[in-house]
Amino acid sequence: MMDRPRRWYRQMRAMKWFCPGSFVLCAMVCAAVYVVLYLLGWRESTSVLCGTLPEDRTAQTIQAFQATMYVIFYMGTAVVAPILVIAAIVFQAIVRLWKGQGNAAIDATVTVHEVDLELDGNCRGNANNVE
Amino acid sequence: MGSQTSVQEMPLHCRLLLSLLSLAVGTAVWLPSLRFVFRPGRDQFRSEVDVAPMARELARRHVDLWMQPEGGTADIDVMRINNPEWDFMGRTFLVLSLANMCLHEPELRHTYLPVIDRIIEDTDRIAQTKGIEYFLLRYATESQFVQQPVRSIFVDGELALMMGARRFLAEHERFRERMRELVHITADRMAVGPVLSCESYPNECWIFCNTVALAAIKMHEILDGEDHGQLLRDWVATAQRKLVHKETGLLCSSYTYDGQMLDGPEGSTLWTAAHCLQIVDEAFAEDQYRRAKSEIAHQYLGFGWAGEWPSSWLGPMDVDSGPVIPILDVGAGSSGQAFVAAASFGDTEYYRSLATTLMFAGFPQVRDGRMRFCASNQVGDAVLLYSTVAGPLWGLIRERSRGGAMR
Repeated sequence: MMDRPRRWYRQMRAMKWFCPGSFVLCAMVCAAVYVVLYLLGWRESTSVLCGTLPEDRTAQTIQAFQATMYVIFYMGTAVVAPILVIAAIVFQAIVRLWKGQGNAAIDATVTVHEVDLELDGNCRGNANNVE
Repeated sequence: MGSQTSVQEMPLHCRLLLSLLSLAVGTAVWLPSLRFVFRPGRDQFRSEVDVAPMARELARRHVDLWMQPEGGTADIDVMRINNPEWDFMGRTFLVLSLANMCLHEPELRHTYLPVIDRIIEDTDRIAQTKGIEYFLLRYATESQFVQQPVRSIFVDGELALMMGARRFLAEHERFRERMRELVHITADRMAVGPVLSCESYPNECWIFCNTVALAAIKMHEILDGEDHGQLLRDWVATAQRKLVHKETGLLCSSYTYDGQMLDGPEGSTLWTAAHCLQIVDEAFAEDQYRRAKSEIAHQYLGFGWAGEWPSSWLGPMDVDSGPVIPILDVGAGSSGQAFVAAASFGDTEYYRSLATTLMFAGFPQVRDGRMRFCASNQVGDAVLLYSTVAGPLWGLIRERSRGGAMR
């Protein structure tokens, strides 16, 4: 049971940036942090957005910090995370398409080359016969 | 797995290019779709025919504030720390909302009339015992009012407006007398002013407060059959001549007692002023709404919001404007008031786009069938509630006004 998280962790560390996996990972981290902030009740602190602040200076700072963090991760989850997931799908699709076309091109080259060789052989054979 | 391996083996510049391309596609797909996630269903937030479900949930929370012991003191106290005006305006918008809900559904009267009466009685009692300073910002006592004896049209006008709204549901003898007193004082003081306006603060007249007072005077005209038509007409003519910002044609938000502009047009004042003027001079109100829409309203990808100032006049951020987000030009105060104007001028498209933004960035919270917006406060929620139900009261006033004119 403990192996799976370790494997995930190793995979994450081995992962390169700017690839579909890193996009999905960023989206998941953003959503996970947002859920934690939501459960902590930091949504309530967003009243600072309309200029409503508590009287105490320390409480003001704390509330402003909570509201900023909440808004950043909420926006991250609602706006950025879906974009990252869509981007990951598009990225993967392009790579597959590209790879598929590359393989098809190699296959086609091989087939043409084989036909050429065959034709070449046949021609040579015929020439020998003529000689 | 095979393709994942091949991605990992790709050189950095290829992955970077593909990432940018994919992110561009993701953005192009998601941003235009975002509105569909947050847009409230038709008639969910505001309905033209009855009280929308969300309006009921918003109202429940506000009624609790007033009818349950200690129900709303914490919410109102925290608001008073920042601006005592909000406490007063929260009461006004709530009374207007409940009055409209009762006109939508007369069976709600037995529930909401006691709440309305309680709010008005409490507000009037405080204004008389603790003085106008209780509902005004601290600087109200730091210099002298030009017009004597000292009164604030902010308090007198909104108090009279609340009483008028209540009396359109059912007559109330004590409120009738008090409203008559307030309207007479206000109308007399306005009539002698250099620009037919009264001060809200020392040597500060506000369009918001003066237009609210004009609406209250109009209500009194209809309810008690008195004629204040000359004052209303003269006020509009004076405003068009002297209180309008030249570049935009919009009413400025504050000016001295003798008519010198202090603050230019501001969204947190303009939208409600246009709404109040609707029952005073419909054509002028419509013109102000149309100008405000073109100068400070914004709509993009199905989301709507309003800025605080037009591009030709930039004012300072203050307690009325609320925080203004630069670049996007989002004004909290202006966007809230824009709901009221869009609703009353039947601008359904703009209203829906505003509601979409509200559901996206207002952080709604529903508990036990009671709704509030976390990014707002009690007065903000009361304004939003009013926008969800506004219509019947103003409709009734206009109808009776036209009836009176025909007679």
